[in-house]
Amino acid sequence: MRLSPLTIKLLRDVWRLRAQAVAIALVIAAGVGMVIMSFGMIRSLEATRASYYDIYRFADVFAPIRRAPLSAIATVRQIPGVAYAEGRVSAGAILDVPGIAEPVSARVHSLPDPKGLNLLVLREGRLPNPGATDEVVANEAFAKAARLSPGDRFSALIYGKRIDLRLTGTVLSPEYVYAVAPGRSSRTTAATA
Amino acid sequence: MHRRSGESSSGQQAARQCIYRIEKLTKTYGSGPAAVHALRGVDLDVDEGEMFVLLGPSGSGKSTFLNILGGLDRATSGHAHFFDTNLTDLDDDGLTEYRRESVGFVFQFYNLIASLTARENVSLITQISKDPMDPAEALAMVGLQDRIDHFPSQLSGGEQQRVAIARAIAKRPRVLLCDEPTGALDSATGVRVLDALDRINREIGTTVFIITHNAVVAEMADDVVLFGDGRIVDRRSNPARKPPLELRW
Repeated sequence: MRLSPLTIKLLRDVWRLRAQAVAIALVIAAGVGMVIMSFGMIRSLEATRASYYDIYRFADVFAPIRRAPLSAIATVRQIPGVAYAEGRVSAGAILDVPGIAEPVSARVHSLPDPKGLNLLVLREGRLPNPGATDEVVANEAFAKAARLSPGDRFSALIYGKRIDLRLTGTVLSPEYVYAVAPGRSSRTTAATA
Repeated sequence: MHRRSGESSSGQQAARQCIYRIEKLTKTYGSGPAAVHALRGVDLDVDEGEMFVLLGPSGSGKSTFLNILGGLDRATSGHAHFFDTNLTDLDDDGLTEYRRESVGFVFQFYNLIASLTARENVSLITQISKDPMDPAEALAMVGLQDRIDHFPSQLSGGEQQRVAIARAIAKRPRVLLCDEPTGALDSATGVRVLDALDRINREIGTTVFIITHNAVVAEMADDVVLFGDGRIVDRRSNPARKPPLELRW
């Protein structure tokens, strides 16, 4: 087969520029590899997130209500499209943690129903005993930052009342991937009792 | 019909066809007060097989005229007939076909492809032509039969220009348009390039136009046209064409 002059020119030019051609090919290959890897990582993260939210039953909708009776949950469950509804008590708190000079803003939730929504992932220790009023678990990242371990005690100011609490474990929650107080980026936590 | 003085070489002066008939050709660039009138009404008849030299100062319209003859540019008004075809009526496709089939170009700078040998540079054209010469034959016509496998960087300026000429004639064009073909060459080298053009004109009857600032070159032509301010200010025929190898400047 006889090559056309333009094909010959192409081959000679590529050969003459082989070092640059190889470098460019490597850069392109690295770029393509990065793109493929990035897309793979994004898909993996999305799948992991979906799986995490699915397994730990992350709620789709949150509706803060003041002083609503527990019976209101049954009414909410009757709304078309609602698969499941659960109520909880939630309040802001100021923690006095040993070793931390300034007060810590926190959000305190009642424990979720073990078969309900926003289930906790126990990372260390145990969940509070049912009926125990002074036991709490804390977000794992906060516990590490505050150097708190299961068994440690600290006090909390909730609705103006000082309460002594004991940490029974550290947890993860689908509700708090990154815990931060509304409108703030300072150190904040979520504690569950 | 213009008298052809190269009788001694061709002896075919009796019944030459008119290859170009140019009538009232104008070319204006821009408009309004900034308009540049490159051609202001050029009339010229050219017989096939003649050697034409176009002289004139820079900006006199020589290159514009040649570009219109070669289908590289369009006239603003007037007519340029190539045999029975009015070039000014052709659309882009028509001009492309005209250039491809009928016109060879040689410029001051050789425009050779550095990574192709002389033979391969000529082959570029022969591959897209209907009835081309063998590249080796075209290179032999310009005296480069021993240099066909050399790359441009291995050739002198004159040799590179002769490769460019071989490339231009390999498709057997009816007309060869040369814009300052010796402009970048010294006298001795330029003479060899002109000799190659002279040989092509005599041996295969290609009509050759040469633009030059060098008045000495005019001595090798059948006809000499002097341009000035967008017009032909003088036209003369040489009683005898001087062999290019006898030219000196």
